Amino acid sequence: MDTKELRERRIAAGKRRGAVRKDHRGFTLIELMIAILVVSLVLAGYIGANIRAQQNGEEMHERTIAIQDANRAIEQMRDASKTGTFPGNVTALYPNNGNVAGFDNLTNEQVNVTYANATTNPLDATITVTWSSYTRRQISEAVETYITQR
Amino acid sequence: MKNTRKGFTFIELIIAAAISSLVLVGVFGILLTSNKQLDVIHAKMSLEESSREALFKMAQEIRQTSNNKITNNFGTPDVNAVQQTNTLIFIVPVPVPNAASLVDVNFDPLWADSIQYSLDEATNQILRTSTNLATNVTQQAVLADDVTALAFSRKTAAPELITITVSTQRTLSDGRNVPETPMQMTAQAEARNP
Repeated sequence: MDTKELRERRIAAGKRRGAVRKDHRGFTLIELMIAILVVSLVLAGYIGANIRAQQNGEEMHERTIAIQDANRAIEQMRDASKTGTFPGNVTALYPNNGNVAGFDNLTNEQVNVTYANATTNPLDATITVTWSSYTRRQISEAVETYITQR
Repeated sequence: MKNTRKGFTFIELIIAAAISSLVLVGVFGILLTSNKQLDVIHAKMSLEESSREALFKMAQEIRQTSNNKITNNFGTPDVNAVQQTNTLIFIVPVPVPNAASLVDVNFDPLWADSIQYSLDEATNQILRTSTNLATNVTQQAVLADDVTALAFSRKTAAPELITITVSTQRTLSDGRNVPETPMQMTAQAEARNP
């Protein structure tokens, strides 16, 4: 064989070998990176959704307690409507924009009463319960009702 | 040349299998944890629902009674003038099918049913026992399951306003208590009859 042919063969072989090796290496690296990225994205989404679901469950429970406390406040106001002149007997004990005492089922819980008009019968009352959620967020829940004298 | 054409060696295959099994173990671990978490959320929700329902039913019936028709002993008041009991017994009127009697202010309702709410410590259930005072027929029903504590309290200043407190906790099949500390729900009912 003459030297030219040998050299061409060697170059071709080198090209082939080099090309194969290079392609193979690059492909696996990118593949690995993409795989890790995709898997981590999926996992992050899944774990995030789980955490969010748990937070929602906890917040739902807090809201249930808040609504129950609002209903307790309403029951107390209805109880106050019994004796005396309505609606003065209720608004004296539970003034407009005032807080109702005795609620501590939630963190920093405040039960606030407002009236659309404090002198009408029936009395249009809105009870707003505000508390610090366990996610450290301030949440409030409002219940509106009409109160008449019993 | 021959070697470079080969796809995977045996060792590469083993390594790939090992890595993918590790990944699968991780994924299944996460799935299992989230499944357990779902169980906890579900248990909490159903506990909340059942205790809320029981509170609602009890409040509805307590509203029908009168302060002086609550027959059980509430015990001595504490420092905050609050009396507390675990069992509530009261009498409710039964409606008389007479339209005229409903608008009569001097109408004396027929106080005919005695109702008792109590906690069965063995089964953790709230029991409602009703007795017809005329026929002495007794009926019993379960108001809620998984109840660890039941309390009725009132202030001596307002004895008609009854506060009901229900604590619930469930033990799952794997032995976990949900929630870790019993969930406490409260309602208030005013005995509205004079």
